[in-house]
Amino acid sequence: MAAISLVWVLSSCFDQGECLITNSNIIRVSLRTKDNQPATITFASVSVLNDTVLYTNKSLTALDLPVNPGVLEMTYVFDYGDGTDTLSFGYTNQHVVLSPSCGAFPYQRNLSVTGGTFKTDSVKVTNPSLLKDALENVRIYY
Amino acid sequence: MVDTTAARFIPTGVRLGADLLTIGMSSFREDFDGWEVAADVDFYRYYLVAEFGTWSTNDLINNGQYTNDGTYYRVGVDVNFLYKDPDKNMFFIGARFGHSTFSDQLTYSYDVKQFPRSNYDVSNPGVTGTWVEMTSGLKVKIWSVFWLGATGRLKFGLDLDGNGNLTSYDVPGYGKTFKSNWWGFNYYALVRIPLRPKK
Repeated sequence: MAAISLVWVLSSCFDQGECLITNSNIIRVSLRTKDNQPATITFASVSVLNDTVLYTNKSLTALDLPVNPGVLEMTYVFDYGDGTDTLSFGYTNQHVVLSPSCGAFPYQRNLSVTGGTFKTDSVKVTNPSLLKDALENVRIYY
Repeated sequence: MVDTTAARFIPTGVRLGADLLTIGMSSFREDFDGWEVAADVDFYRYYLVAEFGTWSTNDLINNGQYTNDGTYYRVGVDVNFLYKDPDKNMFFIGARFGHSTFSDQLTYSYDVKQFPRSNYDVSNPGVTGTWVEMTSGLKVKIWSVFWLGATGRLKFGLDLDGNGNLTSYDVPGYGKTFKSNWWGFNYYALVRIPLRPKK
């Protein structure tokens, strides 16, 4: 019993922490109608401004928009074929060390809409933290 | 015979010492530097205890480096269950309030799909941490004024103030922050200075 206790105490002293990575650099966007029902929107493309094309010729009810942790604002372009919208998000990085073997990670928090062509009440941030288990961060109402 | 007079609460001596484990860690580990001193004074079976130390770590992590540097103190009371012992040897249980002031810094690189690798250099210039400890241990007279003492401590209730965009990973005097409680252990070499003649 004493030996077990000693092992437990020593293991506590040298515990390195778990490698449970919960951060995500993805903004999960739900597309909704004005009466808050799921909306299916057809996109010619969705892209990061002047950068990666994320979706091409898709009809979607939800979008995953990746953010670059190295900058604190991202702008996305929604091309509908007969018109475009832009939407900009700002966020902060919270830097967390999980363990020496696991490393350090930036967690994106305080997500906010900082610009774009959508009307103010057409975009709502529902969860300002980008985490793996987040089902939704933003709703866009069409 | 048990002393029942009010005079029993007049201190009989002060013990001053240093933690040998902290000195050993500083000597043998490249990622730690620090020292800790301790003092206690007796009031009958109760001992007022104060501990003070410095602590700096240099943790290499797989994508960078975390460092901190600061000081800490703990104050509290131990209750001696061997108070009838003429040499004042101790088996004690006690409690501490811990306080730490430190700065920390994290340098690392991180990359995600779609975007180039980013390098980060973030710091907290002034962080304050407080916590509570339950303690238990022994203090034994070795010879003349020389004593050895071992203290085990369960640390919990960490509260940090001053964290900005960096979440502190290690707190001087407390340890790593990812657990809600920690065990700690100190092994003190002490000198007892008598304050009044032994009866």
